[in-house]
Amino acid sequence: MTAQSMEDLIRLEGVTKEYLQGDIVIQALRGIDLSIKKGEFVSVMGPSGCGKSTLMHILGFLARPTGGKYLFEGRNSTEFTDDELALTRNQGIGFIFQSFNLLPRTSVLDNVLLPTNYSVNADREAVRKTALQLLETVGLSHRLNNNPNQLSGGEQQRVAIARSLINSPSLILADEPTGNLDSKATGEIMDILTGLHRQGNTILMVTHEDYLSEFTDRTIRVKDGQIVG
Amino acid sequence: MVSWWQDIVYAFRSLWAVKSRAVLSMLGIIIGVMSVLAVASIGLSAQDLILSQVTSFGGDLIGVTPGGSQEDSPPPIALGIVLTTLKLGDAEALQDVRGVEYVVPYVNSTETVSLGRETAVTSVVGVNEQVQGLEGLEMAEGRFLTAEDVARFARVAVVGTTVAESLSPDRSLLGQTVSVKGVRFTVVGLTSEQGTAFFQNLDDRVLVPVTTAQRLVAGIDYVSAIRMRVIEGTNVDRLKEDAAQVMRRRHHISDPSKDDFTIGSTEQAAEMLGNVTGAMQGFLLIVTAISLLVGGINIMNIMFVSVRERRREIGLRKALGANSGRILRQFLAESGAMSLAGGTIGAAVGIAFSALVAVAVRHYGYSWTFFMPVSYVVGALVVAALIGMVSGVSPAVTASRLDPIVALREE
Repeated sequence: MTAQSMEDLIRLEGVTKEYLQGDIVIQALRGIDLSIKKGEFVSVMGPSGCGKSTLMHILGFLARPTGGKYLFEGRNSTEFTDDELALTRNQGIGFIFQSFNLLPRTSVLDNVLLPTNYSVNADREAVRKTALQLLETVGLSHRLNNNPNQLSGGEQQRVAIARSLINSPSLILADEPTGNLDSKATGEIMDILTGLHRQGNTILMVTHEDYLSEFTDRTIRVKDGQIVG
Repeated sequence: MVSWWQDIVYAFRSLWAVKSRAVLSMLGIIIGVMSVLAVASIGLSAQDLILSQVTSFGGDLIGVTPGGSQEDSPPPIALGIVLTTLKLGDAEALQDVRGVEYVVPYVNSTETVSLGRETAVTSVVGVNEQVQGLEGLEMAEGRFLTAEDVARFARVAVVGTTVAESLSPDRSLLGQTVSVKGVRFTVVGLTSEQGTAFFQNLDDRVLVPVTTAQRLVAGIDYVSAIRMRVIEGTNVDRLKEDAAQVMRRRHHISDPSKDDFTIGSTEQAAEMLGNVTGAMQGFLLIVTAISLLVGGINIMNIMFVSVRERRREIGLRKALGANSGRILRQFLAESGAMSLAGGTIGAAVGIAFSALVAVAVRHYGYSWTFFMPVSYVVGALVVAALIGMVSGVSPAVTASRLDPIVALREE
């Protein structure tokens, strides 16, 4: 292995993904080669239906590739069992969704702590402390016991960011994180994400907006299931 | 262990969020557990009551009733036929059977007893002097009937407390004259409070000499039944056989299958009643258990709806690292919690209901004991929780198999 590849957090080699829609085989990904280094902030762009969602799902271990190889932190994830995939999602990945996806009727603090319910041997006291720190970072210390429906969209997304960070993941996957937000909230979220990047986090963000991709180190463009640049 | 606890806490919280629906879905379990406990408790109390009634005179009693014991046809009394085969002479003859302590013939009729303008409808029972020993009667005032009263067709009466109070609430009935069917009886004694035995209120009756009752009150020449008390330590089966021989000789019967009388003991009666009530209780428990099952199906139904509604939540949990096993557990905990909560409510209502029945029955003068064994309550709750979990299996498996990508895409 070269020194170059040692630093790769993610390496995709000829990854394909096919799925059935009725009787028709859809080729969502047609051979993707991609590597992302530790500490990079990468944006993924492309028209809808180009396969970028499928790519995100594979990178986030929500789906398995049909063919090819996916190395995550040097390990070949194509051989993972379902439980290993779940564990990797829990420990290695932090998800940020377009529609926030917070649990209703559950306090901000408990929402942030949710992933630790699925961690093995989580120290309740320690993770609680971490959660409080993260909520302070995203400026929501005063909202700990509120339920999501009492928060604005921007605030909800900040809770989701805090949740994505609770297990100190190797990769943050943000799927159009500002898609449901106004420009003011979008600015706040992008500030937080660039801040996280500066602290050394690896972030992959799907977006439709060219001006948002300018915040990132580089942009991957996907078209018809292939990377075009 | 900790994560189970989290699942359960979350389960109760999501139940609380949809209170009215949760209560509706628990209703089946609530009613099921309530009726199982109520039936079990009331059954135990009823069995206890029946046994205590049958054995309330203490020791072994033997009863002789008219008519043979035909197992394949209803007893004649059910058809309105009055059998007249049992005579006073039979009672006298049974006196000589070895091991018999007391023999009492009974003549029962319901009559209006009056004292001046006061009247009371009560049972007037013709007996002999030995009934005091057989029933263990205690006197409050005056004397009991004597053998001489019986022999002389005396117009004397011994009155129970209930009758005495309704006829003459202010002053003692002792020495006064009451009339039954125009026949005047002098009250020579008052029994003290006796309670009930054999489902008869011993305080609500007037005892008169059997001879007087036959001739002047009922106008009959037979007796309704004969009861015997056995000297302690006697072989009851031998005695019953001896008594049967005496009866057959008197009634000129050579073939025992043609007996025109039936001899039974309290032990037999208690056993038979125990069997009957046991079978009844078993049957009722099966019926109520079916309602528990229906409650379980109800919960399964609502869990399917819940899984359907919360696909996004399931998808999110999977994305955040929950494996299929954890999702399965979460929904099992939820259905288990739902039926455990329902079971707890049902148990509370069932206990309250049984206690209420006890109060009501005691009000009518029976010594009704309230039974609610802890093992029954715990058992019902465990069964309820199990039913909930079993009902939750299929919806929970559905939830655990959801593809997170599809689930997250749902709006």
